[in-house]
Amino acid sequence: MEDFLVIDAIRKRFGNHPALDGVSLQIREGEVFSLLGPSGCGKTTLLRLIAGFDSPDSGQILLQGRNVAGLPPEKRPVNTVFQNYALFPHLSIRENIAFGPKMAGWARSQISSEVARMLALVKMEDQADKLPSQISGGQKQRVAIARALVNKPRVLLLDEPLAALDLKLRQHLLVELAALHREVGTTFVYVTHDQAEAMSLSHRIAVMNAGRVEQVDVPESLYRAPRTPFVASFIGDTNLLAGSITGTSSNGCKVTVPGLGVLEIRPETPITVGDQVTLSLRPEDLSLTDGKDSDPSLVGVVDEVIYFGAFTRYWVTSSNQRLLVQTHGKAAWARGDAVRVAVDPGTLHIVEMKSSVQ
Amino acid sequence: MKSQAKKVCPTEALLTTPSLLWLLAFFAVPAGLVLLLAFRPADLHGGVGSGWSVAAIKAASDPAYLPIWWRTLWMSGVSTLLCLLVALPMGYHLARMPRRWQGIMVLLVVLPFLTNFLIRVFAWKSLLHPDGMVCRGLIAMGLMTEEQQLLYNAGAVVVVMFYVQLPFAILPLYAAAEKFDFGLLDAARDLGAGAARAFWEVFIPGVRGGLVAASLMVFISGVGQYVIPQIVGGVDTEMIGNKIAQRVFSDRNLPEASALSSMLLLGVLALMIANSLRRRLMAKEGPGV
Repeated sequence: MEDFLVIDAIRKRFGNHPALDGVSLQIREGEVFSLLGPSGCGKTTLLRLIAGFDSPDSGQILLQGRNVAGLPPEKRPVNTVFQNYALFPHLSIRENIAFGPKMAGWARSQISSEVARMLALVKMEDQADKLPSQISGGQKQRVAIARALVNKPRVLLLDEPLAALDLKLRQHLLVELAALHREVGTTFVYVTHDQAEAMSLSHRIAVMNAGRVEQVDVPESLYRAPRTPFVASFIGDTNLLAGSITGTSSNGCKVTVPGLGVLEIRPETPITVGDQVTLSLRPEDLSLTDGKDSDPSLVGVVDEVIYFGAFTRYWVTSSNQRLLVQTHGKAAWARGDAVRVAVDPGTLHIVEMKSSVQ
Repeated sequence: MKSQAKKVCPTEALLTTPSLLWLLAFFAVPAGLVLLLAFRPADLHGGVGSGWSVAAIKAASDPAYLPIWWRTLWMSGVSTLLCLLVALPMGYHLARMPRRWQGIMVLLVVLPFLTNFLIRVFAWKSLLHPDGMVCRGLIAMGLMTEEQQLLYNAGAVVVVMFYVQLPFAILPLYAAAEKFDFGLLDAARDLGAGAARAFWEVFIPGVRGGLVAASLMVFISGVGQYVIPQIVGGVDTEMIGNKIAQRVFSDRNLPEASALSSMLLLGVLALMIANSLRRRLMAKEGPGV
């Protein structure tokens, strides 16, 4: 169902600063959809608009076809997991989870059975009568999820729920979160600035930058086929190189890149000879060969070598371009070596194009 | 739960000494002297006789004082309630203002203190006077007749007490609200509470400490009042403070004044001790379920 939650041409300004500049998204029922971007890109603003804490200047938010943009937060069938969890400090864990059902006026017996079910779901039965100040950060996060899910929201909004935790715990909770989603099947809208978090958890990701959506795609496509230089550099590491189309070949065209030579590319959009393009090359798609007998214009020098264990990274300068190359295993080249950078064919990807013809 | 260190380190003892001495010299010793005086006989010349006597205690226990005690309690109670009703939303809004404005507003709240307390009470007297602005205005609007009085009644005393004590309620509530995490109100709204419900269920418990502090400060300073009923009150609005003042200044019966004062003091102390016991009990038990 493509039109479960539709964000339609949303604009929101704070003073002179456009926080959201015409954002449109379609979120499917039951998916984990991430809003990914650097701080200040508008992802949290968008989440707050969906939750109802702010209202958009223009545009619609349609949940199952109904515009909810004018409704106050308490009238929307969505619940939020806040970044700092926002657990009520004067209430026990149990009472925190029971807060929503109590507001909704559920019967007492139903409240206690549903709260017990949620406590079991997030494995917090033993801590149910403690205060939020008496449990750990990871436990608070689980309580915050239980407190939101107990209301059976159509959409669960998660605002950087792991940002306050340390790396080990974050990775552990990410696995738990994925399992939890499989169990409840609720639509998740997940805000994060951490691309690894988004890539591992999400079915689809919207990459946002400066109040706009740059690209919406499955994680694999975002990584392999980024459509803008921003997406290419934000998702993982990449080399962004300028090139020009210098000819055609049997199954595509030839692109000349300073320092790399003439490469073959199969463009997805129509392209003509003379066009200037920006290419994205992932470090792991590059390799190094001996540069002794090569054309001098294609020979680079290894500037820096860093060994990471499973792989080694080299920074190579070739024709005034700095390239990041990643290879498996231990270092085969040393600083100062003359090398030639080879490109794995078929991995070249155009992220920006300036046509020579107007 | 935080573990409480039982051992007192020497520096801590040293640091506490000045305030302890201050309390001893200016509170405990005078209070003890007042208590002692209550057990002395009064002499005919307005002084204190020698020997011991329970005459003053007996006189102070006269049931004729009961209506005055009762009036003291309810007038202080009503003015405390009024103060909280106004100070609570004020504390809330003050804390939500931009930082720069908070400072200015707090300054405005304490600004009346620059004017002498007596002058402010007299200002109220001229405001509420039959020829004063308020009276004339209400009569002009037909809300009051010439025969009615705003001054010299319990209403006037409560209103002026409310006015004088309001800053003492606003400051602790503002201090508590300023520490409150307003994101919790978003969370409450998100979980289905309307704005008013969120305020009641989350904000009020969140500033509970400030509420208790404000109530105690206002109520305790209320039960000790005698200037306000003296100036804007009438014959039937006397509070226990007025009786104590009369015993001292008119009757020159220091032991009976001391007896009444001691009763007031013990009552207030009981209130404070009850509050600190309640807090200790809550800290021990954890959350109420």
